[in-house]
Amino acid sequence: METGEIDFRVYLITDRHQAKRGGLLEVLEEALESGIGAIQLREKDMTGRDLFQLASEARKLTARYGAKLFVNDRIDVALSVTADGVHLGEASIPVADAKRICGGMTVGRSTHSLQSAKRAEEEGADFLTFGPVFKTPSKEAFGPPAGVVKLAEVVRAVGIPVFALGGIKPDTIDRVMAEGKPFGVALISAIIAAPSPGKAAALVLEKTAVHG
Amino acid sequence: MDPSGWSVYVITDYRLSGMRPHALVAEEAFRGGADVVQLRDKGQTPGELLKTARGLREIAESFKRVFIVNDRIDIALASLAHGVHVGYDDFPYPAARSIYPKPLLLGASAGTALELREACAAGVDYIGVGPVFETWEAKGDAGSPVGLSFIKEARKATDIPLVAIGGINHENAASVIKAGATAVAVISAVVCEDEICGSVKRLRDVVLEAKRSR
Repeated sequence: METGEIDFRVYLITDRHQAKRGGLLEVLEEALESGIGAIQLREKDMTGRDLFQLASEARKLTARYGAKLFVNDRIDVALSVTADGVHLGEASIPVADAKRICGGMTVGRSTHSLQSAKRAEEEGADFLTFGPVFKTPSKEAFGPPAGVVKLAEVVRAVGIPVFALGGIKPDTIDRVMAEGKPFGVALISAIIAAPSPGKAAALVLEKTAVHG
Repeated sequence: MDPSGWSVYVITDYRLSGMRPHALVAEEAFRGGADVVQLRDKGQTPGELLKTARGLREIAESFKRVFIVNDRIDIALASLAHGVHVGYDDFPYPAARSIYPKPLLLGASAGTALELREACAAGVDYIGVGPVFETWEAKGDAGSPVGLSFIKEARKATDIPLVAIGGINHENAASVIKAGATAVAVISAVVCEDEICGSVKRLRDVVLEAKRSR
């Protein structure tokens, strides 16, 4: 498998509204402390100015731990804080256009079907998330869960790393990794909303690494 | 292309223009003599906005005029727009300038002395000053009117071209130019009208006349 610069198996996606005590940056620091190697800042309801501030802080934090930082949708914010990459969704600009303006940054793309996964690869995406694999409240808008069989199909069909997304938590990782064979897993609440984000991150990393 | 030579700056608004396409509004505005058209549509997804922006950029090129994207610097870059306009809450001005260097045109909003200082310090190409008068279409993010006195203040503080915005129409445009504005930016004064082209032309005449008698 061609993995390029994708050197992480667990892709942590943020949602500051789910962060318990201390706020998002504190949660991220705990996760980084446990060894999380990549964070996607995904905060859709912030002004550009506030997002820039948060991204600047997240950049300092991830740099200190040698972790990668991705910014959801906003290539301008990613460029201005020298993030490692951007993560695009269905509503974002096409991968090929993003590649043209992102100055060599890594580009990830969310996909919800085999067809969109193939198209994203053709357009030059460096890695994909695919889901929702399981039922999860934050992904209900993207239709019924695709399941691990569909995940396995997508993983076989594309040559770039695929991260399973949607309902990923410590007790589903074994099944996802064994049956879907993704490159890694992507998750929000299992770490962000955990009573101890650090412990949750450590457990997720351990469960995923067994299959690496 | 140079903001110091601008007179009329038209901002699109899908709803106010009776859901006429942005491209039609832009074409009419340029035909009427607008120097600049800014695409502003908070309802479109970034993907849709990029498509719209590409269309408007082509129209601007055919008229040899300026096309500017509101807020999203990445969409401006991807669509090869001539410029981008950022509000104070959209993006810190120095950060915007660093990823959107000259000769690309960077415009920044200023409605307070602080915002004005930050825009000047960041080396923007023009400053959107306002809201000058009471507006009814952008209540949420526009703030209370700054009046003609703020244009005069800004004019004293900087040589950067000033584009006055907020509640400007054919009746009050001359006063704005006399206060020191380089150009006037309008939305409802022209895009609501059936004859956008004619409305822009009349506004342009008012602005040019005010500049002559300044």
